[in-house]
Amino acid sequence: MTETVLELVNATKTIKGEFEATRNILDHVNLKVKKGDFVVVLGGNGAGKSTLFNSISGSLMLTEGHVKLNNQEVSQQKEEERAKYIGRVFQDPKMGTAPRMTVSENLLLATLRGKKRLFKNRQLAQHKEKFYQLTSQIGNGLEKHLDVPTGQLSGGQRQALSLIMATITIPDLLLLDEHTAALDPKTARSLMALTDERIREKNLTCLMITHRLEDAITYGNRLILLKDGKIHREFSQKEKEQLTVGFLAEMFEE
Amino acid sequence: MILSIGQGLLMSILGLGIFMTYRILNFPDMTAEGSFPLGGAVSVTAITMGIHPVPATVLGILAGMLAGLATGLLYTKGKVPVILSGILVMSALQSVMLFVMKRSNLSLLNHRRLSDFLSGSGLPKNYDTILIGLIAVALIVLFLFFFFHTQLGQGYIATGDNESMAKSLGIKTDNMKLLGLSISNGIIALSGSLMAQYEGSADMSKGIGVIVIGLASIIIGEVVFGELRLGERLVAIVVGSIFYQLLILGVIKLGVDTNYLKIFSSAILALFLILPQISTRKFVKKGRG
Repeated sequence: MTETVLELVNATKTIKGEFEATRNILDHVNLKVKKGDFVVVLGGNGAGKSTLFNSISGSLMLTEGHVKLNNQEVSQQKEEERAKYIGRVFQDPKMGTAPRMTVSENLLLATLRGKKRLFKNRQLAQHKEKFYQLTSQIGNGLEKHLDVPTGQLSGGQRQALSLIMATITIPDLLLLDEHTAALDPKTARSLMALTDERIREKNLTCLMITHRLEDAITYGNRLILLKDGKIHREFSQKEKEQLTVGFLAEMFEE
Repeated sequence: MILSIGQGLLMSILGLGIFMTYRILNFPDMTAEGSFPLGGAVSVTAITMGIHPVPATVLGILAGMLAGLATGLLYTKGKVPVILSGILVMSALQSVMLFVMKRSNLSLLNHRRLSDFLSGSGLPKNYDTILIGLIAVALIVLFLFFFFHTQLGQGYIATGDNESMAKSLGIKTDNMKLLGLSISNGIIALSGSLMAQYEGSADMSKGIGVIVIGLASIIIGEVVFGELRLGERLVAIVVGSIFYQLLILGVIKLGVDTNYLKIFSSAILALFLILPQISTRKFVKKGRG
């Protein structure tokens, strides 16, 4: 039996707006993600996709229900503590990297994800060779900018860097939060290809939010459709293979 | 002139302390106005009680670190906005200093200070301040340079640079802020302690406006030297601080009443804050033309 990496039990997030009625932006969601699963998450604006991710990563605490990572209850753990299990790539290229720190400094920060940071020299030089190899595989020239502050990179380069940072030590769970949305179509395609390659190569367990219906069909072995904070539909690998962009687009209209 | 350079060195330590929060965590920490005179108050009181100047100076540093920790706890655990946290602690420290010294100022007359240990070395008058300043500045610059290049220090820089990323990489950002505020105010208190020993007395009111002086050191350094690497930036603060003291000396030489110096301090800082913007505006215009 394959082990469960992520489990959500009745995950609910309630917001009490000042001017609006109390409502559940995440409404009793139950979800099990097994090792090696690549789950694509679709949903319109306000469907609860970001809330779902934030609740898993710990940047939002659930009002009700549980989050389990590797069968351990982590509902009360802060984001910093859950980081030892989770690698995350954000939608906004500015969110995933430290702009005044160089590419290699960012990579070094990521190698220590979830580990204790000690009062001892960071020993950047020892890692340079490895960082050069990692970045030169991408083919967008990142390896030439190892000593450049990430603030000077293009959005595509930053997102590729974020992806490497999220997977440089193997995370138990990779969260991709519309990570290609801010990029031009060509850059988005190559980043998506790179993503898929890394997921396969390292057999990562992954949840990906996307708005590109083609990507939702092409990638992943499961697909869930969120609506009003609930899982509206779920498609297995077999069902997914039959899907068409037109059908998915229609489902959005519902 | 020599006096100003000596003062510039001692005050540059203040600038280095403020750099840790203002330039790395991106906020001006008002605690400085309390921890600076606190360092002086604690060290001078300790010396008058017969404690050796070296441990007395260390006590001053520790007091400053506690003040920074208090601000940090209000900010991170109490969720009080950071400027307000600093102001609360700064204000409370007035009572702490009064409690420590039992009066608003305390003289070191007839007590030994750090500089007295150098008097036998045959240095000309006032050069002892420069020597003490140089030693202290070198220690702090080396410490900060080392700290910023540790795994911990990199986590600290990342916290200020992109907090949400830092959290997603497992950096305990609240602890980093506590650490930074403590170290920063410890360094600021060291500056206050050395200044009080140099002036021969501790005075509660010495903190008023020090944040302006500290920021001036940082910003003058940046305006004069431009883009720099981390180690160079630290040295630029020291040069900026000396430059600032020389500017003030110039103002005094012009015959300005020394009671009115604070407005010139602020004016100098304002000028250096505005300068880069004027020059970029001009540059943009030229580029278009």
